[in-house]
Amino acid sequence: MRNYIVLCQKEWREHVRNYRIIWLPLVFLLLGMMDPLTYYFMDDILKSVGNLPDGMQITMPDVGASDMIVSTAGQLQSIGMVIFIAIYCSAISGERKNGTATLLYVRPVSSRAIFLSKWTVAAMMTCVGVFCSVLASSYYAEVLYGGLNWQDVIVFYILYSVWMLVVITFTFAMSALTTTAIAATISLILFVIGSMADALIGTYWTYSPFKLPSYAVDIVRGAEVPDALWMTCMICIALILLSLVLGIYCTHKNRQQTTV
Amino acid sequence: MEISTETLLLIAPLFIVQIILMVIALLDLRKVAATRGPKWMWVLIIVFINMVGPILYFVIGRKAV
Amino acid sequence: MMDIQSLTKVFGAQTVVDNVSFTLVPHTITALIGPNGAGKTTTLSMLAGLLPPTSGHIHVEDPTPLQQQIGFLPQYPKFFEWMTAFEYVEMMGKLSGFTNIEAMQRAHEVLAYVGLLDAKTKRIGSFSGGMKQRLGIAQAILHRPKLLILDEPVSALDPLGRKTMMNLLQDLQQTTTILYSTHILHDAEFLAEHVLFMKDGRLVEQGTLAAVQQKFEAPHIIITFAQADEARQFASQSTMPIAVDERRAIIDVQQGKPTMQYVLEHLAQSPFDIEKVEHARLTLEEIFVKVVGQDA
Repeated sequence: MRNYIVLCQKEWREHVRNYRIIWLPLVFLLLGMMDPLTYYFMDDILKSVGNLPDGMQITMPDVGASDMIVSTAGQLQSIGMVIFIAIYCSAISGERKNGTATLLYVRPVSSRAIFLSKWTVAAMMTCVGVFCSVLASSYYAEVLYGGLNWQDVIVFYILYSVWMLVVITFTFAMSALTTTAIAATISLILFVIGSMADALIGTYWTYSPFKLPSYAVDIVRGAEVPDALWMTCMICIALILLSLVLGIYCTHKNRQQTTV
Repeated sequence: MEISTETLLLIAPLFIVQIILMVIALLDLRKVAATRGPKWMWVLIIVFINMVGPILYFVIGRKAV
Repeated sequence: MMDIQSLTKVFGAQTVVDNVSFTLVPHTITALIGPNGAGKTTTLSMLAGLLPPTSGHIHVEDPTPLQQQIGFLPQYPKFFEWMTAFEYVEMMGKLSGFTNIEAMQRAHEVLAYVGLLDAKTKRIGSFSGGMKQRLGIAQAILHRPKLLILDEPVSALDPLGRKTMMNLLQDLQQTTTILYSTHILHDAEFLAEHVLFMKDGRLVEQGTLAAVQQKFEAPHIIITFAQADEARQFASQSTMPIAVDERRAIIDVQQGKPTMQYVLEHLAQSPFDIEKVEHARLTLEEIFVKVVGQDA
């Protein structure tokens, strides 16, 4: 337990020193601001581009506050996910490869403490990142359009964080299992292709972790809460736990792979 | 297109956040020992590629040790 | 201190360490000597608990976990470069079971010991190779291990750094057992009491330095004359088996004869101008070439 805390402090310090605790929230703030502002100023942007023939009218679709959150969810699902996978795919494998793990591994430190400490700080960053996006997006949605149901936004945030935790925990497990490049590839393919596949042919099955973000979007749209939501949540949480166990096991098993 | 104070206030945070990001990226670039690719290239990317530049730098540019 | 029996490591079809057995004597320095690729690093990694052996035993008297009894320094130690030296050593101290206060005090102690106290608040990323090596020693001795395992601790250093490191090791010998690998024989000759010669994964020779040297000692007495002529003359007049090499007369000593005393008495009666009389011992380097080159 004490080693876990000491290592958490180390992780935290690293996040401070490489500015990750500043840039990551800022990037996700940007991600959240972008869509509401773009929608709101779309008219002006089109006008300022100025190539439109006279008399041509562009009718913007009627959008409301909740559409902004939906749109931001799309950003998180693409750019957000890629950023998280990219920065955490080397979590375990990186220290193994560059040899910094070696001097840890010769000490009485459990693989569980090593893996969980890194994961804890990463999970925190994930929740903070998603929070920043949702906050920025909903702030602008409320200011520009108004009439946001904050309760739904909060539920959306929680569900979306769980989903993103699935992503990063799996990425962590892959990082423990194999090399950085392979971990990144597997995670990107699984989550990007997986999400697309589920969106395309997902109607053929009821339960899938990939449906969690779309359920979250449904909720913020004010649609009926799908029956399968609970089950999906449970599947996601089970996946997180499974990835944690796999990650710890692989961290331990691959200790001998460390560069001496 | 006239820019009203109101509009300015709305989009100000966007620029502020971008500028902070850019400054942090440049600070980090100055300090960090190794980057993927030459440093001057990253300076250009950070400064001239709006929004995406600093993100690219932090995610793939810096070599963590 | 540590008893190693039939240690073997197989990677795929390759036997990297083959049936290695030796014993480490407390408070001695043992040098593991061998050419590159002999399996030194693999052996040390197994002893440090980083690699599980394919077969064989590592036996330690003390029942406390091996990791607490061993300090390990790899050939190229890699640190978290964004940490300061002090933060790093302090963290490692905590991870080795020190309380926060102990860890702080001990970090001060070891950094002072290796001469890094002035640099303790500097980022490790800005350290030179020699400083990193010393930091490596600091983290290795931090938890007062009974056994220090060092992989090529002096090989990458400049002469000055090497001298500092050797002084450190000699000093450390008073409190710990040291096992270190090297291919720099001059240093080993100076430092080590015990030597292990490794080749192609096998131990080809082991024992105290003196015993190994004695075993391989080609017993000779060498007399260096002022002139080559004198050497030749001396050889032709003498009844002893003498080989002449320029100004040197090399006397083969067999079963202790002739003794040095005999030679000196003999010389005292001779009119020659003598520069030097010596017992010749093979250097470790020459032994190394002999041992490792035997069936090469």
